[in-house]
Amino acid sequence: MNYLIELFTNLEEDKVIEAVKDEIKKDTDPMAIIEACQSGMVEVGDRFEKNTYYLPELLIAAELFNAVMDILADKITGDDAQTKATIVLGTVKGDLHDIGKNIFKTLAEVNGFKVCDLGIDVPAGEFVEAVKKENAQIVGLSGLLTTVFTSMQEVVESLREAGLRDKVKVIIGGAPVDESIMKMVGSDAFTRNASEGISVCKSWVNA
Amino acid sequence: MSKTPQELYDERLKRVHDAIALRVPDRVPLIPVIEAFPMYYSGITIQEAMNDYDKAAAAYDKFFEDFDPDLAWDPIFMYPAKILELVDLKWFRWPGRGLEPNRIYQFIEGEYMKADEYDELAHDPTNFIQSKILPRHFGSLQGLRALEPIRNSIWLGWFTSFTPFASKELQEALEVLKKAGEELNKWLSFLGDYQKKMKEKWGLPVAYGSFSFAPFDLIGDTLRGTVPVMTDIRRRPEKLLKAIDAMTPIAIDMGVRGAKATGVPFVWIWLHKGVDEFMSDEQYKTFYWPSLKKLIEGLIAEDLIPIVYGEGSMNDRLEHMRDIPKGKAVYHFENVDMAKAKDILGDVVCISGNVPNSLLATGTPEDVKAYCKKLIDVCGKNGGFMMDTGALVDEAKPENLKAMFEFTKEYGTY
Repeated sequence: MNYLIELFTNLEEDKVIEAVKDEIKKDTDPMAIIEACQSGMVEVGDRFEKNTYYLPELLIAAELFNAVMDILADKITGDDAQTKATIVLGTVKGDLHDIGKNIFKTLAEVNGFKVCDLGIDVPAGEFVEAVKKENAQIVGLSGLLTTVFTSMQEVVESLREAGLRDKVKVIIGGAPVDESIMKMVGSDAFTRNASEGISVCKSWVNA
Repeated sequence: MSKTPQELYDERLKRVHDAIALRVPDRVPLIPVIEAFPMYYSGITIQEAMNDYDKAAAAYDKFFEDFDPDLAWDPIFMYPAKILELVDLKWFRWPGRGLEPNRIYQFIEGEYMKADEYDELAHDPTNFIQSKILPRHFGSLQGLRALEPIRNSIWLGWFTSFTPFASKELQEALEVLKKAGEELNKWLSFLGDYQKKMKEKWGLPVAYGSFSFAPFDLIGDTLRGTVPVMTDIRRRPEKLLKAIDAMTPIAIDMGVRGAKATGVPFVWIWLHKGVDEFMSDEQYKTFYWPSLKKLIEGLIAEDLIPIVYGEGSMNDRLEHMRDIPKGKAVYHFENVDMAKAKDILGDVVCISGNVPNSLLATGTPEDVKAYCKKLIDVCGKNGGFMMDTGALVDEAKPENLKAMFEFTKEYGTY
């Protein structure tokens, strides 16, 4: 399957789809096909981190991966994928931006995290509920506006009130955040860069 | 003896023009772009300011009683909700339309132009925008779709040119536009009156003559959307480049017409998608920079002053950005190494920005002063620098914004 990994890594979209269909015809184990594409996705993520790939490549890889999964959807049973940890992710109340959040989500999934994506404009209570329900280890709060720092603060506060603050790590992400905002919000980390954020999450899980 | 508003006005404009021309001004000019701060500062909601011009004016009055920038923003950023509602703008959310009263409005992207429409855009942008894009952007202007064949009459200029206007749908759209136009007239007179007051009462020059956008962003922001346009870079590069070419004269015209109409030379170019993380150097110099450079040069050729407003990180773009006429523009930066920017660009263009909005929102006046001192020390040598925040000012502690103003006026004197 190395050829498929390579096609995927080089983002040969049509050829990847064609190859996946060929492998299905040859009765190849669907999990082997998925694993090959996952390896390609991991390589794309690495190149993104190392600045040889940028947003166009990462976005195409994510779409390509979803296209492959769509083809294989009815051929796989159950989800036996191993996950590192669960991240509850969302753009906080008052903010409707989702591109940064989605990039982070893509990279997190590539890196073996299970992501529970709550969407945009998410009130503090929903984060708390999701952490309980998913038994999550990490909470990711996204925001692009300088006016939503208090919304981030409210989430951390609500987690504390629910007795969950010590059970989860909280990372805030978005163009305007920095160390001072992290302190104000009461999160464990901040990032302006999705791949850096993933490294932080990985360090938490591996520690 | 205190100076008259006219004297203050002339002094401020000279200060700004000196800095832009890379001459040493009397002191570092202060040009922060103020967005929602006056509303938070005076205690009215954004919803009130967007719905009531007098309330907005009162908020700005309070702001200008306490703050005296060298280039000042009238209430233009308090977009009139009445008009937005009338035309039913789809890609925008504001207080009362999906947001609480005191939240800042936001842009909601969508794929308003499909991937297979590039040729149409490049072939005839005006027709495409008028008859296809506008009806998609504005819920109550569906009838504009009927405009498509307007140029195709059996003779050019024959009365049958107006056949599209026989459409009921188009007539309804025109009714909406008439109402919107009347309200726009009120809003524009309000802004005009307010600018007059700014000049006559406080001696404040208005900061903007017009706005424009990098051609890549024109396509990426409200036509294709960020994710589609970024993938187009790889999937359909030729078509994207052709469309960028088609939009470049429009971007120039946008800036020139507005600025000539107002008589204010400052054309603000709000950059969005050319930041470091979004595209590679190769992609930037193929898809982003050449058309932005043409826009900058096109404005300069008309004796206008482009103020290129970059948010986010642009450290990898600085070398490219050198390539413009000397002393004719301003580059604003947010998360950029300002020492490096001064080093690379200092002999070509006046730079500004970088005071973190987060610092204004959470720091102390001492922190702000220390930051501004560092900036003036590093970037202010021999002029060519203006004090500005990293991004538009919404929430900030008033004492921090005051510290930025007072310190710059004191320490920034040459």
